[in-house]
Amino acid sequence: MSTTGRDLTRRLGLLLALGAAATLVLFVAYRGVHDDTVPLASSSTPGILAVDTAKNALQQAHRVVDGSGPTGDTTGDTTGEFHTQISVAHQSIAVAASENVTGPADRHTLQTVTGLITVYSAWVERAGQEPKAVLRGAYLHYAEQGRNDILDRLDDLRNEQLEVARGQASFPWPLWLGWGAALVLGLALCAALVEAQWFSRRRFHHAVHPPLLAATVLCAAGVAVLGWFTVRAHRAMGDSLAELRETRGADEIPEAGANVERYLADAGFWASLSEWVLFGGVLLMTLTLVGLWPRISEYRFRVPR
Amino acid sequence: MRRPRPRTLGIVCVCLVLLVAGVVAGVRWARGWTGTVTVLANWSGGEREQFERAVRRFEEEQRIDVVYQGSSALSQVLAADVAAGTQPDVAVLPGPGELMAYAAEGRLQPLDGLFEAGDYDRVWVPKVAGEDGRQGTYWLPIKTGLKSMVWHAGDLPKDEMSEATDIADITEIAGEPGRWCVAMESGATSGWPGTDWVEDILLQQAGPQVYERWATGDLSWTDDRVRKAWETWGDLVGAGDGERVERMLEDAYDQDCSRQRLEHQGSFRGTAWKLVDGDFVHSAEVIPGARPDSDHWEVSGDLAAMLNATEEARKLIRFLADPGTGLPDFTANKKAASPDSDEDPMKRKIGTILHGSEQKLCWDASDTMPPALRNAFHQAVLHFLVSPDELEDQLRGLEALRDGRGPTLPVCGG
Repeated sequence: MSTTGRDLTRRLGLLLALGAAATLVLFVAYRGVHDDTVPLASSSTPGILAVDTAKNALQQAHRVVDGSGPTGDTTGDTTGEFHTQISVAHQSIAVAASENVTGPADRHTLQTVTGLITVYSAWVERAGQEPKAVLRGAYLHYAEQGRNDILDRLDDLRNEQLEVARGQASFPWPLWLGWGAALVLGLALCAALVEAQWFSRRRFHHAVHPPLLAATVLCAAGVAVLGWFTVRAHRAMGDSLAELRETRGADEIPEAGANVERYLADAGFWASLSEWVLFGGVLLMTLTLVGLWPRISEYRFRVPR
Repeated sequence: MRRPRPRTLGIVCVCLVLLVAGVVAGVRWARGWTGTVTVLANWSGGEREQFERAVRRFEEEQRIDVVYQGSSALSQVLAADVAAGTQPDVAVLPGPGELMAYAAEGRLQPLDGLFEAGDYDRVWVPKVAGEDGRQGTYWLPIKTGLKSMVWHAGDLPKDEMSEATDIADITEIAGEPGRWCVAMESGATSGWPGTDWVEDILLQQAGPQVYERWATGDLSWTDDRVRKAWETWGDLVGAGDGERVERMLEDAYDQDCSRQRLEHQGSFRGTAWKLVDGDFVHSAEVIPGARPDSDHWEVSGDLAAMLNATEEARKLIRFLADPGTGLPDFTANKKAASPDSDEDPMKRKIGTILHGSEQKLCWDASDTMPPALRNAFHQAVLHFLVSPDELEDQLRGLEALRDGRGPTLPVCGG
């Protein structure tokens, strides 16, 4: 009695189960990495660099105050540099707040910093209008204390933002596990498809079974391409993180931003492929079904009674 | 024994994987926050740690994340937040003046029903008018502080009869301007230690009625009694004394004070003075010209108000009003543990005054004033230290800002 029908049915079941499992695991593992590339590029990086810009602007503003001679105020600042830098600081804080890297705590800190910058510039301006040297000195002292407070808060905020970016660029053990499982399932699926091809070839004397061959190529190419994109994305995130690790000077910030933009230029494309994983999985299973079902049908009515 | 079939094994494996995934997801969910409440206050350092320690239980029990921001520029930050519509859920302000203005503008959410106002003396939780003119409860005292205190090292000579520190010695030290620790720096609110001085001197010299009239805008800043309070302070600390004044202006209000000196500061300084076995006397004992029967104390309070009536904010207010919540010193809740049970004698002494003398407590006057006047008062104090001879100009400037309508809340108890 021939067992071909039963063998084919078993193979089809196994291939469909492996196909579904590999698709789901690959989808989750892929998203696990690529879901973080876009936020790193579009939110964390601008947020961190905006905080750096605000810090630099405040330091530059205070240099104007320090450099204005023994009076130590902004009355000698004929270029308006002090106010320009305060304006830059305010705008950068607004950008950092809109990026909302660390959630409500982030916004809350930045709102407080905005108020502190206002107080800081008020002390400096008061010093500029004060004719008595002792009071002028005291006001500038208060301004300096305020500036130190602001910089400390921005440092703390930056560390928290960097921690978020680190989390986004990391490859923790669940991802290793996911990608390990995806590779094992992908290999197992390819091997099972090749074996089904061999089996079909032996029993039905066909040189090649096109749908099964297409499914095998799709599986191998899909896993390889997605794996390659993931390696590239992980490397790009690592490079981006290296750009953000240290606080940048005012001149270096645009360059750092451009570098991160370059590293993660394809992040949107990589991330958009995740939906295609599911589509590819369905296609692969359809090809498997199309390849084996007609043969199984031939045996459906030959089952011994 | 029969070996299980591969299909059975497969099903068992799938079930195990699903179970593990479920457990992991469940643990993650249980560990996560169910909500957030933002709190703005002016505490930093130790005070902030105390508050954060106190609300940790709330966070653990309710799974609500308390996001805290502390700043000495609280007033400016809150004003900007409110104007931008991004106000914190809960703000803790020192004193009722600013809160009354926010309540009248309809910016505060009423707290009626969230806690029992009767658990607090009326001076701490008065009913004030909201936007619609209806009286309601708009704040909850989180911690209170005693002022009108003069700190000294505990090793001053004692009176042989009473074993108490000899007041005559303290008065003698107080007569030398160089023996006072005076420090005005406090970020955005620099100058407030000086306003405390002037207020306290007025309270002890002129009495609570005059003090209350002045605090509520019913007494001119150019009144002789007010002027006398400023001049008394100037004489005590040596206003106009070049180098010393420079130090006074730049020293931080919470910096260490040498044990050979006196310090006019509130109960928050107890921890620092305790290190040198310090003690305090009522400021009326050392203020020249204080009324013989002067027994009123200036007090301060950090008051929590709700700006967004979220469920998380309501829960936090209920938690903070619970007598069992271990809030930072000193609670005004009459149902909380009695100060007599405190092991620390200093805390026991301060707690007893705060709890047992409602009739003799007066709000820090500047905390009840409108923010613009309060800020001008801070500035005037700094100016006065440098140029006491220009006092009249400062007083006229403050008088120009006086709003005769005044707040309707009681400034002094009783």
